[in-house]
Amino acid sequence: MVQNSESRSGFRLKQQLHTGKMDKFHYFVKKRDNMSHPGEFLITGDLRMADIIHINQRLLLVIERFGISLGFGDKSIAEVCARHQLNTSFVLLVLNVFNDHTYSVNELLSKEYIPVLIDYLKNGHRYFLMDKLPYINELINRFIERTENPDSRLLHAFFKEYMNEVIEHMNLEERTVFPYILALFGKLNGQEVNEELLRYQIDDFIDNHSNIEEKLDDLKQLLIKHFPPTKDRFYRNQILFELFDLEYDLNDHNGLEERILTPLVRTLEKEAAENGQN
Amino acid sequence: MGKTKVLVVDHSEIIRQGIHSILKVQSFNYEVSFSDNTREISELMRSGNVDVLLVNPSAYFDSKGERIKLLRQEAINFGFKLVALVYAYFDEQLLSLFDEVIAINDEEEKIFNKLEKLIEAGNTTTEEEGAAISQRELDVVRLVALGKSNREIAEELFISIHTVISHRKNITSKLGIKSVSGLTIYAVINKLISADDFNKTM
Repeated sequence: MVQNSESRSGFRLKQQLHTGKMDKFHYFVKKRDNMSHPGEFLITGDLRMADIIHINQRLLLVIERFGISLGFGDKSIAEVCARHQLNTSFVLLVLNVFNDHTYSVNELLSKEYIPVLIDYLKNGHRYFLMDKLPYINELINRFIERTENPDSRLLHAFFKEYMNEVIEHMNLEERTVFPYILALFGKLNGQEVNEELLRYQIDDFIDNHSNIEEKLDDLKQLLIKHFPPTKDRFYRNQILFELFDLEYDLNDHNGLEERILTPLVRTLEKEAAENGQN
Repeated sequence: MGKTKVLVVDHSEIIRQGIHSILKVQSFNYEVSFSDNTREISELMRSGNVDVLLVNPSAYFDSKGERIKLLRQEAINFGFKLVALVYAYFDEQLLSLFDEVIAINDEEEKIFNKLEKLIEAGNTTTEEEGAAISQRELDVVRLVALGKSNREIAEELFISIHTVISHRKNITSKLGIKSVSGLTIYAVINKLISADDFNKTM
């Protein structure tokens, strides 16, 4: 079904990729600052995994979260998915959503994706909590060491506070939201589930995302506009690069929860309500 | 009143010509031009040659919609209307930055009416981002940074809670800082409070 909706320009680029003519490729490389390619390029299973990373390096994050390691040679996306026992249509769906934020997902959603999607999101959480945030924290430490402004320590305290908010938010999802969804999914598939887990509704959790963006944005503003010029410029810039990257990534992550997970769970809830009535 | 100058920013020739012919058929009052050259677009905006900027928001899309926010700011600065031309799903929050949204499947009349309505409507004024912060606002920042509630700030400065809230809104839009801890850091950096006070509130 993905192949049917393939756009013309996607087809052209794909041909160039396969024939080794990479004109348009350079065009995309130039456009990388904007990292989403609306309507311009559709990722299909027969493309080589290595090629799509050259087109949009952010897809590295997606691949990582599916548990795929680099070093896949010239294998196509479908081949790599088969080797890792992943559902190719689902992997393509996520790759396309990341690559093109205007990519329309509605008719491609299947509730069978739910468990894999939750695994994927958990891997995302692990990345944020275990790797990304500690790394930025470390950069802030370096910044404090190198800069001779005692106020720089305040940024550290501020970032700690921000980290705690993210941890709290993600913990809520892992401890409450995901178990609820999996229990609902299990119940509809005839499994014995802990009824205690079912006392929520997905709408109870919505609107929880904007608050973790607030401090991130404030920190950027402080570093760019308000913090006085510092002796260290390198780490200050590195922190900013990482904050922009984190923000982009969190947006994509939240996008998956809002555009894919939430509608799927609503379908489950509707189904459960109908079953209840019968 | 002269003709309304509409600048269409979209890479599709079909769309450009389509908009052109819809507006031509409906009224003689529109002058439609096209561009997808960023520099040309910004020159046209600055020279006052744009009344309505009709853009495909996906052409301006980035992680947080910063480029769209920039367009919004330019629309305020140069006094033109910003209209989105959407083909597919687009982030609602970003669409709210536009004065109007035209969908690809809107009927001819609807498109025309939306534009007419927009032109009739008067300009709205918004507190300018990046404007200098006033002494009164700095007083509020200091008290916020000390962990005071809106009520306490109102009492201390002899103003109403309503005024405190309005100061806080303006502070946020001027400094770009929303959280209390962010404002606290701002206050320390600018010597409104001491670092010791900071440690007490964090």
